[in-house]
Amino acid sequence: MSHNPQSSDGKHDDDSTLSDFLASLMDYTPTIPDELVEQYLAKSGFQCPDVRLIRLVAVATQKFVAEVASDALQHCKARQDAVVKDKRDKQQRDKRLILTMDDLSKSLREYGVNVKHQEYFADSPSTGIDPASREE
Amino acid sequence: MSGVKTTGGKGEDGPSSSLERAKADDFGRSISKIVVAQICESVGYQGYKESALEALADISIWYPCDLAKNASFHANLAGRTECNVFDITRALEDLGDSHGFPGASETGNCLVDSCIVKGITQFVDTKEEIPFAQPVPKFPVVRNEKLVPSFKHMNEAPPGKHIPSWLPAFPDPHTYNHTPMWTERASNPCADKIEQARRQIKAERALLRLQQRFVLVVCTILPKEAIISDSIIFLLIGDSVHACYWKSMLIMRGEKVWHWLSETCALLSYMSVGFLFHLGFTVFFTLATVESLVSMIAIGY
Repeated sequence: MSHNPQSSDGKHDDDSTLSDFLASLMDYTPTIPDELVEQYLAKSGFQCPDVRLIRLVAVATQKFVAEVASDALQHCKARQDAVVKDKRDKQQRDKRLILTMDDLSKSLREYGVNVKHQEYFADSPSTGIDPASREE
Repeated sequence: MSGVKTTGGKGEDGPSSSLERAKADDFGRSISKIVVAQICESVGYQGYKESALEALADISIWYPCDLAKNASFHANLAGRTECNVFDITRALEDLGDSHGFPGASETGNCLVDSCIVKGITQFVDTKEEIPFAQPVPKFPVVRNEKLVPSFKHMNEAPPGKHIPSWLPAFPDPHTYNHTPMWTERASNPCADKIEQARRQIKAERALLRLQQRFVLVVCTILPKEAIISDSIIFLLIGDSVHACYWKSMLIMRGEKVWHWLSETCALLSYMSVGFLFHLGFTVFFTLATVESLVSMIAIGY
């Protein structure tokens, strides 16, 4: 095939990119400690003596969690902006950004993880109903 | 980063409740919670809800586990037991399929230039390094188990030809054989009985001596008339025991005893105790007055 020598050069580049990346992983310290990742990998049957691969898994997990968190943050900010638009109260904007179950479940839905949280717990089916209608 | 501690609405306290038992994975889970909190802080959050953080920590545990399972599956598929970077890349592509990643639709792509790895490379290059807040010790802690020594180790011959000598040795026969038990007695029962009898004799002797002293006192001090009258009274009442007692006192004193009177009274008492009891009481009272009169007269003389 004509693109073979090109692709082989490209492959060399890619190889070097990959190996460079793996080498750079040794300098980068992921937020997830290596011991934790090793423990969970060993539990799942992942056998590898190479530390770089463990770092790779750690970095991949960190990236995933960061993406989920940033998506949730977008939801949170969008919700706050909507509230501000309705009430036209600028003080509302200074409210702290808090990670809530609502935002998290919305962002995880896009990643295929279904985390549906029960909104509240009630003692009986008639909890929260107007007393007048309850008597009926 | 501060945490807003609100749980699912039940009003329970969080993991600080003393009623909750410690689970095996608690250490790993608590580390993951700290990791997730750090990541959220780097993203821009200023606070978190406890339930949300726990859910995200669960995800941060589940993701590498799933990745590892996938990678080991691919390695096994290729006939290997140890995973390499391509197994991980395939596993990442599998997990990223639902979300979509650039180059997913292309077939025959070499894994070396996988877009997912490029994405990770970009992430590493752009993102600031956030090391874990505290040093983590190596876990899980492996404890050296005390193994049962083998037959060879104990220099014992296995009790059967079918048992190889490198297997752990059988327990000693005294652990499963029922042997008679001898109860160690601290005291000797014979010696105890002897001691008890000795004490009884001692007590009886003391009592006898006391009685003798008492009798002596009575004999020397009380007048003769009183003793006679008292013995008659006891006879009439039917108290032959006390009557004999007083009689013996008289004998000791060397006084004359009216046998016929005493025997008759004893016979009467045995015949009808009740009547005599009543009679005796009336007689007693009359005789008591007579006695006092007699003693007064005797003193007078």
